[in-house]
Amino acid sequence: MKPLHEIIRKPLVTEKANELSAAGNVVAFEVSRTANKIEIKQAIEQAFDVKVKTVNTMQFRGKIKRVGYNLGQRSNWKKAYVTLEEGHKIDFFGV
Amino acid sequence: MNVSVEELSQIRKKLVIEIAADKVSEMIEDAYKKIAKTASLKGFRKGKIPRALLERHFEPRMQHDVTGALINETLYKALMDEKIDAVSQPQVVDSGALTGGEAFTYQVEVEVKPQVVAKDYTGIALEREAYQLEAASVEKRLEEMAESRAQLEVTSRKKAREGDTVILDFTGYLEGAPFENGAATDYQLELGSGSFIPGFEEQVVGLKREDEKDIELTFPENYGAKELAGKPVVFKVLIKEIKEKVQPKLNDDFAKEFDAETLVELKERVGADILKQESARIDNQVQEQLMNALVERNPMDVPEGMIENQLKNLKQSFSGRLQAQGMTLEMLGMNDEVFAQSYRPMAEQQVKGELILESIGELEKIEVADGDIDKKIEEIAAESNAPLNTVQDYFKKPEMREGLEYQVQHDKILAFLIAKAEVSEVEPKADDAEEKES
Repeated sequence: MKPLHEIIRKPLVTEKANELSAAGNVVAFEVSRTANKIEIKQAIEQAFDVKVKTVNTMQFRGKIKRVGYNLGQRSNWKKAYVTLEEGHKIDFFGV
Repeated sequence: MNVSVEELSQIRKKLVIEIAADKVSEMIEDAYKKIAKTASLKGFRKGKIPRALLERHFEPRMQHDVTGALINETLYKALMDEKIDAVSQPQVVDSGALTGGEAFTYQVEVEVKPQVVAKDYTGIALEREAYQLEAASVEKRLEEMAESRAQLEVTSRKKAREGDTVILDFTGYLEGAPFENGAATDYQLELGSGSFIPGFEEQVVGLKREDEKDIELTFPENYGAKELAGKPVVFKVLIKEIKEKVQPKLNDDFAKEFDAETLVELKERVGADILKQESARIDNQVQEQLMNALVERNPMDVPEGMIENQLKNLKQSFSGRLQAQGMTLEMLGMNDEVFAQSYRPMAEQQVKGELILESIGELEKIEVADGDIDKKIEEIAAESNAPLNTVQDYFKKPEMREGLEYQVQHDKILAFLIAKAEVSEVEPKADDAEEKES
């Protein structure tokens, strides 16, 4: 398996992620495009010491951006919504 | 709101102000609501940041806002309630942490006017210069007036002397070629004024009208134009005219120029002016002695804020006077720091003096009556040659009247003190006092 930090890129802190975590104990991450759900599940469990119930992933195409005359494309990426088992929690900011 | 006051010294007080817990919570709530409207955080639309995140990210801002607002709201009220007259900006020395549901306490130090009770202010030994108007000083003043009216006239002498003004053409040559800005025609040059390069004027002395001469000299090493500094040059000079200063004769015609009928009248007037100036100067000296003695006899601490204020006033009047002469403080190499350093003792002295006088005014119940002010207004009108009612109108404004009242009271107190003092007449201290004045 790849190192953990290559699979889990970063947590996503957005309005939607915030809503989901409040409603159903879900946390959102940006993850490696090549990682599959099983790898993600293992990585999360290992990194945050929690039990994962399910993983939903989705691919995003990078937005096309223009700077003056030049067109460019941001990298494609993958997002994972990870539902945790009841009683488990991840605190991103580590209070 | 709970306030307790502690006296640190004669001039410093410490206030401990406590604000009730529910007021604090309310303020924090309001602050977050306000922040929520404008704060922006990546991943969230404006105004949609959940409260938990808001508290995590914007706590310092909330602390700052709420502390500032609370202090603003309570400090001045506290000062008013406790009847503390702060002479400078109060300093917040310690403010506790702000937590919802808990009381907030902060401490402030303020400078206050010291309570001064003047003592030993009678029987001060003062020296007053005895002044006698002398004919010589009138003559000297007339001489100065004549000089200021001196006019240039074509002289009958042949050769130019030091002090004459010559009209000349000149062209300067550097290594045989004329150089930039080195030539002029009909140039008016006062010999001995030192306005030209050193050596030039000296060599013009002794030349006659229509004379031509090559003046050879070397530019000084520190001359402004680099390419000329330290270089030997030749000036071809043609003298066109020689003029000398002619002072008007001291006679009745001269007197008429100064709005006097005769020379005798002018002399009288000049004498009266000198006498007035001198007695004003002597009065000032006596007052100064008095103030110094008072300050010495009444040692006290004065708040920094009052000294700073006085310094500011001094600086303003000083630069005002300079400006009237077309100068600025910067031209004298002064900046705030230098000024503060050199005038600080003076400012401190003045503040102390004012406080002492104020206290004497209270102790002796020296008050200003309307009659005093009317008299003063009449004096001012007479002095400035302005119609009485204009001056009266000018002092109808409350702030002007207040200033005048203050001044009149000040004068009265000083007069009272001088009357109570032991004044002895002394011989004027040689001539240097007069020199300084002019």
